[in-house]
Amino acid sequence: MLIVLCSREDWAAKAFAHRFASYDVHTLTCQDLSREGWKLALRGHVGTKPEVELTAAIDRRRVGANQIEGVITRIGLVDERELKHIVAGDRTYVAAEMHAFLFAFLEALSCRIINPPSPACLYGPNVRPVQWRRYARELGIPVEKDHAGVTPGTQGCSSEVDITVVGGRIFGSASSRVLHWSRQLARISGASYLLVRYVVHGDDSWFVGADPYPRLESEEIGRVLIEYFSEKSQTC
Amino acid sequence: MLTALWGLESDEPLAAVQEALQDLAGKVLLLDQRRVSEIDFRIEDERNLIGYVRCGDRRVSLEEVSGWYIRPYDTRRVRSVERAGPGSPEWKHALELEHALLGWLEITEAFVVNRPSAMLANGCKPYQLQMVRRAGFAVPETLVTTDPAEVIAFWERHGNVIYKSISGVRSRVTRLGASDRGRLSDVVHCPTQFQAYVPGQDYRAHVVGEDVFGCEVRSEADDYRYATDGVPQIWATRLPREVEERAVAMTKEMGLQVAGIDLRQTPDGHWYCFEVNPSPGFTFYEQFTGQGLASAIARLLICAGVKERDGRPIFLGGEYGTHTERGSCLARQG
Repeated sequence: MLIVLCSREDWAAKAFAHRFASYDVHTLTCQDLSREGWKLALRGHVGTKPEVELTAAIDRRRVGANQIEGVITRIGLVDERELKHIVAGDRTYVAAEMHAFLFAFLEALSCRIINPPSPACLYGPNVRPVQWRRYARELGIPVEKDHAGVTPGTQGCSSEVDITVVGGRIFGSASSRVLHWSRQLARISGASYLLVRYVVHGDDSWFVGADPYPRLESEEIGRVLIEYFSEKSQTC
Repeated sequence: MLTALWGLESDEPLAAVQEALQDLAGKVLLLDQRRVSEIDFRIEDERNLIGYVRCGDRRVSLEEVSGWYIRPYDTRRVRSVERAGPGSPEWKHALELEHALLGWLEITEAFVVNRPSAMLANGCKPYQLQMVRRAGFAVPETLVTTDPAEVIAFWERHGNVIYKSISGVRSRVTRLGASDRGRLSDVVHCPTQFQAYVPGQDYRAHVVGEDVFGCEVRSEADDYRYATDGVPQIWATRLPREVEERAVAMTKEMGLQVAGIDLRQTPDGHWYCFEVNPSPGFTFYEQFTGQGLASAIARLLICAGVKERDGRPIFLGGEYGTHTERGSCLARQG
């Protein structure tokens, strides 16, 4: 089973699940956390290895962690606006609790997750723009912000290029050097999926920013994501 | 050499650290969240980490700041910001400032107590418990569930069970009682945490760099922070050396410089850890123990701040210059 954790109104996620229904893809919303059957049990007596037992409630059935082969996360946090079924006065608290639960649950899964969650961002590394630029500098990638006023971006004949990294695959039209940088950025941030944006002018490219939010709109990327989960079906 | 403080001026731990820094003749810049509209923060050269922060008439270069002590409150709840409302210039400025400062605190070479990213684990207790367990402390058997039948089975298995929040929202630790049985079905709405009750003696350990300040807490309440039958009795104590070492190692492993650790020793001698607070309200304990936690944090900020920036240790004179046996420039354990 492949789970897409998404907003109630995430039509791209629903279309993706529908398109790849034969791969047992299911969407999961925050509302589904208000269903009987979720469980995270932590045991670990002194001197023993801690054990975590997980059960999910997907499409009204209980699913053990070993049945979950992959997760694509399309929400960064649990937004109280997703919790219309909860009494208004309790939504803030419930949203915080559900967020904490989802993070702990995803973190405890051993299957592939796009992207491995962080406490502040369920869809991947909680890297601020300033930190992305620092990563880029550490990797020797020219950063657009460092060249403000002298980059071609101000001269009207440059273009922006998006490169998408999915596992070991890479998409986008750019020089091999730019593709290499993108892979390195994905690796250094721990993201299996990463969209990296550059400003390109002639042979020169400058890093603009990166975003680990997984896009499902593209049929090609969708197919590669399915392959990514299928190629090494690490059940939990 | 200057230490910047970010939070509310009226916040007791922040005020205590400010006072302690001033007692040590340390230069201090207070970024009071209530004066957010007067604060301006700019990174002028991100590559070389050059910029400034201005608060009112005072402007400080970021290179001058060797240490940061932060206890920020939710910006949106700061009175002036809340009053101005979403979308107002004050609201926008406050959020932009918060965003910029949080980013800066991740990349600055100054010494930060504590880096925002390192504090996040405390907002997810089951995750933090797994880190605690890996650090070698015992943790209570824990169940987070939306299944009432699981709760009943857990309750029957352990007899004595408590429940509390798992997020950063503070909640009171409460013992599950007969009157709760009728409302267990409510757990279906939201995953709820239950833990086997662990009997024993409460301790609090404050880790400040390499040093541990232990205190013993006596209270009849399940959660002594909310004791209704009189104030808890708290006094300074020395924790067993192996517990201290484990606490320091765990704090480091979590990427923290300062932490407040809730411990309990069971009658059979096992040490349980319930939570690691990355922004401890240490003044509550200090009022009983007089351990000098604010001074220790101030010394850490000054010593480590200079060491981290310049790569050299600094030792303050007088009573603060004594080495501990672990070689810290921090002087004494209270």
